[in-house]
Formats: sequence, structure tokens, C-alpha cells
Amino acid sequence: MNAVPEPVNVLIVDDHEGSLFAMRAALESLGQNLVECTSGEQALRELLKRDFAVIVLDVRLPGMDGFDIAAIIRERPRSSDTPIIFLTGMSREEPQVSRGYSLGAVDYLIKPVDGNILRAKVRVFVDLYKKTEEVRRQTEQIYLLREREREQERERERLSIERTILLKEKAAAEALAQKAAELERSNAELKQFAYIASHDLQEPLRTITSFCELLRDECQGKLTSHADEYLRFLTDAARRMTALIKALLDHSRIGTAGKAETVSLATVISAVIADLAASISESGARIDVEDLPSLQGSESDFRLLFQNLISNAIKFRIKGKTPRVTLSAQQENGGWIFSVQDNGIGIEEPNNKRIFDIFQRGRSQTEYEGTGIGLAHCRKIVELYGGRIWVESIPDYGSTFYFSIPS
Amino acid sequence: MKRLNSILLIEDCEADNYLHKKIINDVGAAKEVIAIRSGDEALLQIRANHAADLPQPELIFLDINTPGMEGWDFVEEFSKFDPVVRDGTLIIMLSGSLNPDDRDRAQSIPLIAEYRTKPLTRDAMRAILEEHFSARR
Repeated sequence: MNAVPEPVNVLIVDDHEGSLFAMRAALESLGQNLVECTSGEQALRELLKRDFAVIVLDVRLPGMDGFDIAAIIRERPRSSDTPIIFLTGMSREEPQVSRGYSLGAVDYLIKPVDGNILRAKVRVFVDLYKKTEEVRRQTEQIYLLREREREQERERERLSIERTILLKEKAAAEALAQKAAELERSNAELKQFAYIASHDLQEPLRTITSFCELLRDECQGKLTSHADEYLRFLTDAARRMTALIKALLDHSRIGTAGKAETVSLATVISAVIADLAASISESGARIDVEDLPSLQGSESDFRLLFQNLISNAIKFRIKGKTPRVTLSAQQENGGWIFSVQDNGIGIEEPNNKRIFDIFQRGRSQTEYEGTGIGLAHCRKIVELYGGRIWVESIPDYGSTFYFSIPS
Repeated sequence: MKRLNSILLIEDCEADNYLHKKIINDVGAAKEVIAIRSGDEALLQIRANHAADLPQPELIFLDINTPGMEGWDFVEEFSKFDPVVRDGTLIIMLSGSLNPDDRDRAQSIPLIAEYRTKPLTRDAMRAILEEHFSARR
């Protein structure tokens, strides 16, 4: 670090212009900033403005004398260490001298002052001041460096913590991805299981059905009346199980149809109504279809969905009452909410979500035929499209099934 | 109605073979019905027939799920035969599968004349004879 190049302040206080002039002449060559005062008050004002490397102070001043001034200088913390050189007309032996030292004087010069001695003494204090100042700056620099080091240390710690957090997050993300993969695998296995189960189960069942029919064709009426009845139960049970397995297979196949296309629901409904022609004409059902949109998706999904909802609406009718089914669609939040309303027997507990579970039936098998999987199909399809399905119902008055298909 | 000389059943389910033989016999569709339980054995039989200069079956009812070689693989291997060997034989896939994908796949293979679901019925047997064998020969 280089020595401080700027000049430092030197204060000289004397009420004699001549003295001041002589001192200025002696000190000018030091190249420092000389501040001259002719009274103690003026000197104190200067001390408020700036710091001095050294003060050359005449003891004998008008008003406050040099000692009074020195006492005030010492009291101020900012200037308490500033060296003071007293100028006095008296000899060193005088008792005043000891008072001066007790007030922090660092030196005495007897007037008339020798310019060389004054310059030498002031130079010592100027150099000291500069060195002290340099040490102070260096200390400050070191402090700043240490502070920077501490800052870097804190930064390193912060980075290390961040890294730990990142690693933990990464581990968590990996664990999550693994879970997702496991879930996907088990989902795929489940799908495969449902498919294989329905596929492989129905083979032996078909054999049972075939031979039941053969037995019936060849032996009906030739056995006891009990045996004919047994045969009927066997045939019915086998037929029913075939329907259940077919339904299970359909359920496992939902969502496996390739890519989405634009599907006109009006077309889908026409096809569904054509499929249900027999039950519609048998029941005399009236089906009102309001304007329906086109959606992105699989035609077979939407067909299965509406087929189940409409056939349920016709199936669960009040005996002796003509079924009326109304289909409508409303736009909501950019998506659609569809409703299928009927005037049928209604549902005792419409809030019971179990009616949408697989093989759950709201009504007894003997009263209303069916596999109990239709609404499970519906829920699976709707959820596949990110929507939900629900029902509002009043027993003996009717039900309205709603489902949403978000955009 | 045309009566075929020979029908081959490639099917490993004994009950199906029993039933299908009975249906074929009831209709009087063929003089001879042979049941072979796997595709590999059926290929061997066809090769043996050819080697011994014996006639090939005019109709094959082919199941999909057969032990070892699947029905699909059988058709693939069968297609590699010389046309002289295979031309007199019609393949109908008779499957227990409810899966529409299987039907689509069968329809995409030219050598499979028809895809039908089990069980074979008398009406189906008659319809097959009518469709594929009435005008020919």
C-alpha cells in the first residue's frame, strides 16, 4: 500500500500575525495544508470542520488561553489523540509547563521559534499521522477482505445447502418417477389381467353353453320335468356369465382405441338410438335430443357412454308409464356438461357413488336385467376425458345423470 | 349341397372338437373330419399329405389360441407353402375371442377367408358351404 499522497491538515494558532507568518514560512516546504488561526475560538471552529495531523498552539492567547483550548480539544473524542505542540515564551522549568503536559501536550517550543526545529517536529507528526492513517486504511482493507472471505464462506455454505436440497429434490423426483412407473406397470398388468381373465374365462363357459344347448335340443322333454328345469337354470346362468365376462372385457378395453378424432355427438346419438330401436319401440319411449356439439375423442367411447345412459333411462322406467328421455348439453368453462334426464323409478341414494362401481346394481337382477357394469363403463370413459359423472334423482319421479367433458 | 371330402380342425379343446365334428356330421358337410391339436402338427400333416400325394383338406377351421404355435403363426407358415400345395385349401378362423382386434387382424390377412366366433352352428356350417363351395368345382 502506498503512502497517503494527499496533504494532511496542520493547524497553527497564534494571535501575532508576525509569528504566524514566520511559522508559515517554516512549514510551507512540507507541502501540507496549513490552517492558520489567530484566536482559540477560531481554532475550535476549524477543529469542528476537519481532522488535523498536529496542532501548533500558542499558550498565550486573548480570551481562552492555549491550555483552555487544549482541554476542550482533549475532551472531544475525535480530537483526543491529536498531538499538540505548545508555543510558550516561558522556560521549561516553569510550573505552567507541567500543566501543559497534563493536558496532553506532546511537546513545547520556546518562542521565538526556530523554523528548522518547528518544521522537523511538525514533519514527525505529519509522518506519524500519515502512517497511522495508512495503517487504519490497511486495517480497513483487511477487514473488508475478511468480510469478503466470510461472505464467500457464507455463499459456499448456501450453495452447499442448495445442492443438498437439489439432491434431495432429485431423489424425491426419482422416487416419484419410480412410483409412477410401478403404478403404470401394475395398471398395465391389471388391464392385461382383466383382458386375459375375460378372454380365458369365456372359453370354457362357451363350452358349457354349447353343451347345455345340445342337451336341451336333444333331451328336452325326454328327461324328468325337474331335469328340464335344471337345464333352464344352467343355460340362464351360463348366458348371464357370458354377458358379465363380455362386459368386463369391454371395460378393460375402454381407452385403448388409438388416436382422438372429431366426433359428432348428434351422429353418435343417432347410432345409439338405432341400436336401441327394439327397446324404444317396445317401451314406446320418447327421446328428445337438444343440440349437441362435436368433441375430440374416440367415437366408440362416446357411443358406449350414451348407449349405457340412454338404455338405463329406458330400462328403469315406472311400469305403465311411457319413458321420456331428454339429452342436453351446456357449455361451462370452455368445456361441456351433458345431462340425460328420465322420468323413471329414480335412485334411493343418489349420493351413493357405489352405483358407478363395477358390478354394483341399484336394483335387483330379477326386476331389472343387466350386468351392473354400465355405469362403471360411463365413469371410466368420463374420467378418461378428465371429467366427472354424477346423478341427481328423486325416487318414483326420475333421475338426471350429468357428466362433464373439459375442453 | 356340396359335400366336402375333408375338413381339418386345428383346435386343442376336446369339447370344441367333439361339438364341431358333430355339427359337421349333422349337416353332412364332409366325408371326413380330422382334428389336430396344434399348428405344428397340422403343418406336418399337410407336408406329409403332399409327400404321399394325398389330397389336402378342402377346409381348415383354425383356432387362435392353440398350444405352441398360435393360429396367426400357422397362417404365416402356411402362406410359405407352394401354391400347388395350398391352393385347394380354404382357411376359416374359428375363434373364441370376443376381442374385436382379433377380427380386424384376421380380416387383414388375405389367406383367411372368414373370421367366425365359436361355437360353429349348423346354420354357420351351411352358410360356409353355400358361400365358398357351391359354385366351385
